[in-house]
Amino acid sequence: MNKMRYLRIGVALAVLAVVFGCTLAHVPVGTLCALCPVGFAELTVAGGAVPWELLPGVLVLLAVVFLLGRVFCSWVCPTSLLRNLFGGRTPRGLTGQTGTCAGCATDPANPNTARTRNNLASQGVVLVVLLVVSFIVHFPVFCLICPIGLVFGTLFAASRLLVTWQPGWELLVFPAMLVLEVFVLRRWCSAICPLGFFFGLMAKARSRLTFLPDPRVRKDVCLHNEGCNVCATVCPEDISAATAEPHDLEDCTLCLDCREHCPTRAISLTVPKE
Amino acid sequence: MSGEVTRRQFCLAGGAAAAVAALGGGGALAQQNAQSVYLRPPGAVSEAHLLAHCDRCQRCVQVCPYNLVQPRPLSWDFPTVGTPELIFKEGYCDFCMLCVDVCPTGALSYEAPTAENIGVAKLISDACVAWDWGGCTVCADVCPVENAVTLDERGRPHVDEDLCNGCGLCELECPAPSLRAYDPSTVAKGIYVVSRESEAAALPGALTSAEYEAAYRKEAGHE
Repeated sequence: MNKMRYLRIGVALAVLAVVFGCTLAHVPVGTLCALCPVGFAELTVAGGAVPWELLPGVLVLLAVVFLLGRVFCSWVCPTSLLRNLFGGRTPRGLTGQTGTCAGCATDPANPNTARTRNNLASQGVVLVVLLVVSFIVHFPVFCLICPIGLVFGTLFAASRLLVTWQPGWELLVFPAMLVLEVFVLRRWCSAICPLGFFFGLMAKARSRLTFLPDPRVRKDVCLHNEGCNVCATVCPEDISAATAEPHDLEDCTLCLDCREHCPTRAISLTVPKE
Repeated sequence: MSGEVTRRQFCLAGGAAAAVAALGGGGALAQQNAQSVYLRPPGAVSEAHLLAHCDRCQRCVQVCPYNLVQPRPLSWDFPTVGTPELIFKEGYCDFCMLCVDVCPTGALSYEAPTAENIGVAKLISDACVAWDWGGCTVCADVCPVENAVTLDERGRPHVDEDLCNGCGLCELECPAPSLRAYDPSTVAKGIYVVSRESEAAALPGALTSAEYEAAYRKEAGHE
């Protein structure tokens, strides 16, 4: 069973369904683009004016990430939805049971040493370049390739095809771009996604505070010392919860796969006891 | 090991940054070469302003009660993809201004000249039924603006370009496609609303289908 994965798929699909339903019902909720901190920054430099009306939504999104960690990434982001449905990095499709754990072979005692960390620096490089380019060409350039925007673009194009029979090239081009970004460039989220830069900053600030919920391991029942690395194997970020330091948990997206798959149910989402 | 991974990530980031830069350059070039100026919702200040301020959140698309506002499809002018465009397929614009009200970025605003005047209707002389044979008076009958569309002594419709506000009711109701035999050399309707920024708007009087298509290239989604 992959209960949590099905639940995440359900939540992410529900978000798309709400946007789509609101479109049919003429309720102007907007797509996720209306909450995007990258879009906010891009419009600020491209248009030369701060779009203040976008700010509350952006701040709410960042506040959620600050309080709950990078939940957006695993529960809402259409990129994770596609990976959960069709495979991709570690969760291998809808029925795949196991993932891989980069560090388990090289350092079974602490798999966290060898995992691929969320790379704030490379995400920052992408962010700076896209802002400079947006400033020069006067349009939000990353919006054209953002996988979140591409998913919504594909949805709107599909509805145009089905409702008014107006097929467009985006029905071929957008999915092809998504395949490239989500499935070929497997490090998209950790190395490129400029949204991840903002979320990474939030997660860094968050890890300084010790009273916020994180997956925590009860050492008395954890089997890590007997050689168990299930939590690291199922984790999409290759984090070993059993040996995680606070800075390892910065990359945690609260997908809760570790909690579900832990053979002794030693992992729970809690605040520290002290 | 981790150093190698970081290097790989930086290569990826560099590649992505280069792609973003190329996209920006290509987009700017496509913008320069684009002949078309699309019919935008009321409140669009100009093509450049809309493109710089629109974050493609689709709220204007969602709120339009008549399904007129549609995201632009992918075309060679790719920076415009997903930005709002008016399609008079299911209705016409009654200037309810809901799209301007919900725009969170100022891409659509009440201060714009288009807030009260989206565009201008252009007659297509070789597609209009009344132009050749007379008898059809639909556009003049339905036009909600007094004297914006009038018929001359030969029964040909004429648009007063100062009065027309581009609401699109004439384009919506034009019966030309059902009244004349299908002719691939003409566009479907006898009257189309075009942006006042477009080359089609700058040409005086009625246009031929060829003139119209050359000056205001209709992409997928119009016909």
